[in-house]
Amino acid sequence: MDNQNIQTSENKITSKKVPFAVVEAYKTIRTNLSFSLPATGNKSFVISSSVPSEGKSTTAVNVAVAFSQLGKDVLLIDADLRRPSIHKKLKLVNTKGLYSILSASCAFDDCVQKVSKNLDVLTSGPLPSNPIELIESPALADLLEKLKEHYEYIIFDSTPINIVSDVISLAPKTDGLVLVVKEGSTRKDDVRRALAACKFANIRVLGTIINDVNSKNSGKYAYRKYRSAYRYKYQYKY
Amino acid sequence: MNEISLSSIISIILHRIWLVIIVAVLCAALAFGYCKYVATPVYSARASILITNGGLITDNRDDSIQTNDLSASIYLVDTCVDILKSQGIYQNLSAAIGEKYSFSQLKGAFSISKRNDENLFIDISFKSTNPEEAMLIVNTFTQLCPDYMADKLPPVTVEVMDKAYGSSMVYPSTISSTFIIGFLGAVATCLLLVLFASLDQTIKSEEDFVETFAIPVLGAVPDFDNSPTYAYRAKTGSISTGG
Repeated sequence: MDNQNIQTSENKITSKKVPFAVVEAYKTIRTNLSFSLPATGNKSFVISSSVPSEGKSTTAVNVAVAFSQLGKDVLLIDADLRRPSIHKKLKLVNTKGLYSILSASCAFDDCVQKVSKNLDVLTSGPLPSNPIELIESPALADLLEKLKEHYEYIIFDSTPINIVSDVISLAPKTDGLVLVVKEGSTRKDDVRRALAACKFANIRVLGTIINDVNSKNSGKYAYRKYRSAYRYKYQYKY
Repeated sequence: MNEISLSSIISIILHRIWLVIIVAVLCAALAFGYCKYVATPVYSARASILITNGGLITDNRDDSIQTNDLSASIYLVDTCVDILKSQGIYQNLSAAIGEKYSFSQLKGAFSISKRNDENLFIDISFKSTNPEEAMLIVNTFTQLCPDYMADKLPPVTVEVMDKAYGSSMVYPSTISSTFIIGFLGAVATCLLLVLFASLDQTIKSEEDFVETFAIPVLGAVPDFDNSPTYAYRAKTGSISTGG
């Protein structure tokens, strides 16, 4: 895996403490998402969950990093204007961001932060009092159209679907929504409600990412711990 | 409540088989401990008496057994059993043992039954927490039977065939109780596991999600904390397997 100069917490796939199986999982997600998204043109999608604390923000960061490692220009936008967390995960400044742009108080170039060669991040900025109105405003649609000219992938980290309706307003402006669930935690009824809301709003659900999968089941090969190695044996289950 | 298939039930139980085993062992251990150290043993002493129509024994002039007498004796056994369950003989017994127990207590501890439908024997057993006392009381009872029956039913002759020479413990049955309670503990644990699983509304696995929602799964990310952590260095930037 390329060594990237990204200030990250330990859960990001560029961290050396992240297990190999996790890194490979995000590569798989990247590949499958590529097939789910439109074949041509620049793409945008929203990553959300049914309820809070499913790992959607971490997933958004890691998916963005995974796409950027292909050499694609990626923009990660923290569209959660109520409880933003992308700036915390990437240890970025959040004095200016999406809200600043939508409220016309700041230009995009002044707000965006480059975290690696191919990955830019637009944090949320100050918390607005009217997040849903900002999301629904034409300013966001215009911004998205302009950004598509410069970025091959635009990834939004948004709010939980069952809690507030921000994502219902945002997702139709993109190519689709990725739903994050957590094994052993997410209730099926919550997922049903979220999917029903997506169906009602005519949101295309690209697929699901399941977090915190129990990895104790054995697979084909065996994991061995190496301190330094060119080669290693590994065991994984997909 | 979720529907659960048989294969899912087996999978649920096998996934927590350690819990089933632990509970079964605990229940068995508790049962064993209770039987061995807490429960008060109960002993039973047994005796038997022979019931005959008086003519069957004393009136056969040619030492042959008359069919009529044998049939009459068999019919009498049921009546004798009922007589031996009546209050009177227990009052006599209570007096004979120095009124240590009341007649009602004695009656409740006795078991009197005919051996089978074509037999002249009546089996008598008495239960007590004291093995010697059980033996003494049942033998005293059988000694009272001939005179009591002769008084109540003159044609009947009662002869004591088997005296009690010891007592056997009938409660608790340690080994069978241990196994039964352990088995019941395991069954109860399995039922509870299945119940909780059926009530569990969370997503249990990738397969569970796909079966429920028929939405493509783009990927499954292992649990960070439980995955083995490995440090590796790709000096050449390539990854090779095997070796």
